[in-house]
Amino acid sequence: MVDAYGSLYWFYLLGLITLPAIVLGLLGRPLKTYTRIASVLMVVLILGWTSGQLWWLIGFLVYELALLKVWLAYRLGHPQVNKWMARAVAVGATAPLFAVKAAALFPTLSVGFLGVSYLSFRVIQMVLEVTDGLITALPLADTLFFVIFFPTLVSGPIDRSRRFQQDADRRWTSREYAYLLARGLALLLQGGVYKFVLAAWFTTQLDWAVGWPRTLAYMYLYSGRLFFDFAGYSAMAVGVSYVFGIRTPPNFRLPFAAESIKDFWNRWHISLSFWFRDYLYTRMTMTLMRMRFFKTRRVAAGRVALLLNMLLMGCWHGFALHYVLYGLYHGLLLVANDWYEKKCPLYTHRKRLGYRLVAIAVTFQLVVFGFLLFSGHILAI
Amino acid sequence: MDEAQELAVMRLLVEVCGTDAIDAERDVDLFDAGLLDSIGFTQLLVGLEDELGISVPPTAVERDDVATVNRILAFVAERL
Repeated sequence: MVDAYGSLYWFYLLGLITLPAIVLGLLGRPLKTYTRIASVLMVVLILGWTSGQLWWLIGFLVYELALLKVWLAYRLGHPQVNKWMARAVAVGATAPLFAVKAAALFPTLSVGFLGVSYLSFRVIQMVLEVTDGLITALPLADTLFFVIFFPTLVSGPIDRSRRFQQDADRRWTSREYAYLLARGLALLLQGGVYKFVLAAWFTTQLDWAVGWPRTLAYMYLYSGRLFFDFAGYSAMAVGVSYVFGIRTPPNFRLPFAAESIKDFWNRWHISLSFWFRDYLYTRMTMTLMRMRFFKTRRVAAGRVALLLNMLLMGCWHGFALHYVLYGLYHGLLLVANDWYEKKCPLYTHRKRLGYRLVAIAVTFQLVVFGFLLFSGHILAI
Repeated sequence: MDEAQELAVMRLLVEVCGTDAIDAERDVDLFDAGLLDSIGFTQLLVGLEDELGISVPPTAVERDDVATVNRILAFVAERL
């Protein structure tokens, strides 16, 4: 197994594997076939021959792709689908992820493979888009390589299949590719500095911040590490995608400049929060709004769904108590945020500079406290 | 789209955004202005279905397609 984006050896392999892509791209040749070869090689290297993870991945892919194919064939023959049937298929697609998360509660069980969450997200969204009639064809190779595209295998960002396919099928001109390459390399550099300089520094400081009196310091240091580590990884993953001609969407947009919790979720782990928003939240809210109880209480339906959405997002990290609390915390904050924007007269001053600065500071404090919950540090003391 | 339908859309938007100021500024980005968010977006989709019979799956709508009053009206007109 090679530690993706974490070891020098990985970057050496990455250099070797990207070189042909760069040459092809600069010559204006199609990248699709080479990207597929590179993905297979790198997936095998990342998961390792001997660890057993590769077999879990193969089992996962066979199951999910078969499910997708059968569902699409059924869907094309039936313009109207039973909503319970559609839900059962969605649950079926989520089952492997659920099983892996549940197995994680038992330390002796070694089930699943690195990246199972992110690969599941890509499959589940396709299942839902088949249900909605937005996806009407799923060529096996295209679908497979969208799911196992190696730069974003281990931790995202989570791309959308229809968007991904447009880039994958595109033949970039030399000039266009030169731009993608420059942007990709810049992102790699930025990500490297984030992860190996800044996050590494925060990590060294964390050793010092143990025990009760230093919990406050731990909160800020942990938040700093979490951000630079994950934003660094994400920038590198997006950067490598660009080198292969795929414009993977970004995961972070200055999250600590957010002026509200709502704003924060448009800036932090964007591909995940938008995934939850588009494939879970909106659908859940629409279902609730149609229930008799919520017919006249649509805003309340939206708030209940917010709470459930964030709770599930928390559980997705794992079923440990601190993750559940983290989800609940952000759900409550978002409901409070919505109430505040609709009811509080203070909100009318939101365009003023002073208001915005205070809002940024308050949001930041609420966010870092959330990370402290997330870290499990308080529960461990 | 006839006048009654346009009125229905405007009434829905005023309810969702919580202000009738949107009528005067039909090219303002409602998401940027903080008048439309995930709850509002969903209210809009459900409202369009209930009142005008326009049913669209949520991921078939890009937020950019419904970011201003004028774009929402165009979006509705296209699907009526």
